[in-house]
Amino acid sequence: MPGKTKTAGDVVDQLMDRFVQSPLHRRRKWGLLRAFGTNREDMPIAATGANFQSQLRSAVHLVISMPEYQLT
Amino acid sequence: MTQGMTRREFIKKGLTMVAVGVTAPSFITRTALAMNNPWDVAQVTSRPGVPDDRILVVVQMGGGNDGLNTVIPFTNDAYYRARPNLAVPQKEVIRVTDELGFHPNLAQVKDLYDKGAMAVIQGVGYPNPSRSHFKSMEIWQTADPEGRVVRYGWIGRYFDSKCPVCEQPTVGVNVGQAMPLAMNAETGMGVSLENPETFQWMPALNGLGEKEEQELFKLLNAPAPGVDEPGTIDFLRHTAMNAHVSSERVRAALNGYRSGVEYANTRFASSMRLIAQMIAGKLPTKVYYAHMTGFDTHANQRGTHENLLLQLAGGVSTFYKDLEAQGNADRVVVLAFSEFGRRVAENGSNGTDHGTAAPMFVFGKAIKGGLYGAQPSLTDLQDGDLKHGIDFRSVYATVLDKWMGADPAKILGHNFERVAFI
Repeated sequence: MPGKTKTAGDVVDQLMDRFVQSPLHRRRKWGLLRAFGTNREDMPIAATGANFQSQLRSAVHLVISMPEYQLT
Repeated sequence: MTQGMTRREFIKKGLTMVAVGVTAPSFITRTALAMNNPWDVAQVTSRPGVPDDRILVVVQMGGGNDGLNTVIPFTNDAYYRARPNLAVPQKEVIRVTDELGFHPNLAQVKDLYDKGAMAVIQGVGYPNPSRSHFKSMEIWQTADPEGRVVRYGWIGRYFDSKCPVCEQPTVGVNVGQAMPLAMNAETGMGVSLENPETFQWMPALNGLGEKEEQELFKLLNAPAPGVDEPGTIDFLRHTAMNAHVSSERVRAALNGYRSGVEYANTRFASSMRLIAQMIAGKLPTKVYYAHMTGFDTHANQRGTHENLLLQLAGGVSTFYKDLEAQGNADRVVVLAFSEFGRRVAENGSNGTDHGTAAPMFVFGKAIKGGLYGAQPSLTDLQDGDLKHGIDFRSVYATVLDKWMGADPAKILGHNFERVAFI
């Protein structure tokens, strides 16, 4: 992920920009934040974190199962 | 504190929406109802005297079954003249009447016939028959030779008729890769599965894990309150939720029953075993659909066709035994069809080419077994093909009316004559 992604919210925004390219309802964004083990968009996150790779894999997997992605 | 909607909350909220009449996308209410008690809902058109728990199993014999080598007119010289290499010798035929008999590989279903649990409907077809596999299968699956309502199948139109449990995502279960046109419905209900192990949410490799991802999947696909989403997104979310509900329910049903009957090691027998398991597991399903293929025997028919008949007889008879052991035999009717029969005369490759009329088979403890309709003449032909005596839609109409408790005229567009096998 680019260096500007410092929080879980940044990562979800990046995923949405790359895969969906349309606004995401707050509730669904919150669902994706949960993949990173948090409810908060401003939760600091590090690409070198112990669980980051598995969290990111799951988040991508979930994004591409969303109707918003399938219609993009 | 979690802000997500658990399954229990989703059911509760969905049912609340039904109770208070809140305007909500219909799939929310349907899915919520489906997740509650499946047999307690949607009793819209139950007909007195027709139990709601009846089940239809459709077996599609793809490729065009050679009806003449299945139900054999073994005293008819014209049969032996037309098929010098392929005719079944008279001494091998399993006699049903003084003139007709079953292929020797149908011995297992002859037992059902003798018990009154098998009906043979002879000479079934439709006017102006097509010899194209694709077109004829489309006609059989839509019950519409004129091609007026080709988008939806005859079973799908039954689902759309708001039958009991028609609101359930598992109202129709196809055991195969792709949903047949016959089950295509305007309401989009029904599921297709080939392997129950893969009919579920598959998590990412090296991700968070199945359980956690499943919860997130449900969260992401649950309806967001107060959000009016575009119709296409609504439809896909509906489909995803239906698939998820169906997946959980199918696997729960399968886990609840282990058959004590041994099925043959064939694809068809496996499909029938799976259906028997789902029935035993009380899946709220009105119609199951199973497939056989390979009946298109243009060359070297003998071994291939014989093997297929053996598979058919073995699969159906074992399925019947399984249902008897479960105590469900009187709830289930099996309807077997092929898109057409074969021509009367064999071809130069020891095979037979696409024909027209052929027999259909109905199995079940609750039916009136026997022979129905007349064996088509082997000398009064139409361009070398058998003339049909019974329109296949009459068979559908009988099943819809007498077994499913539906109005066939609304589903088939015409009030076809009934056949007396139910």
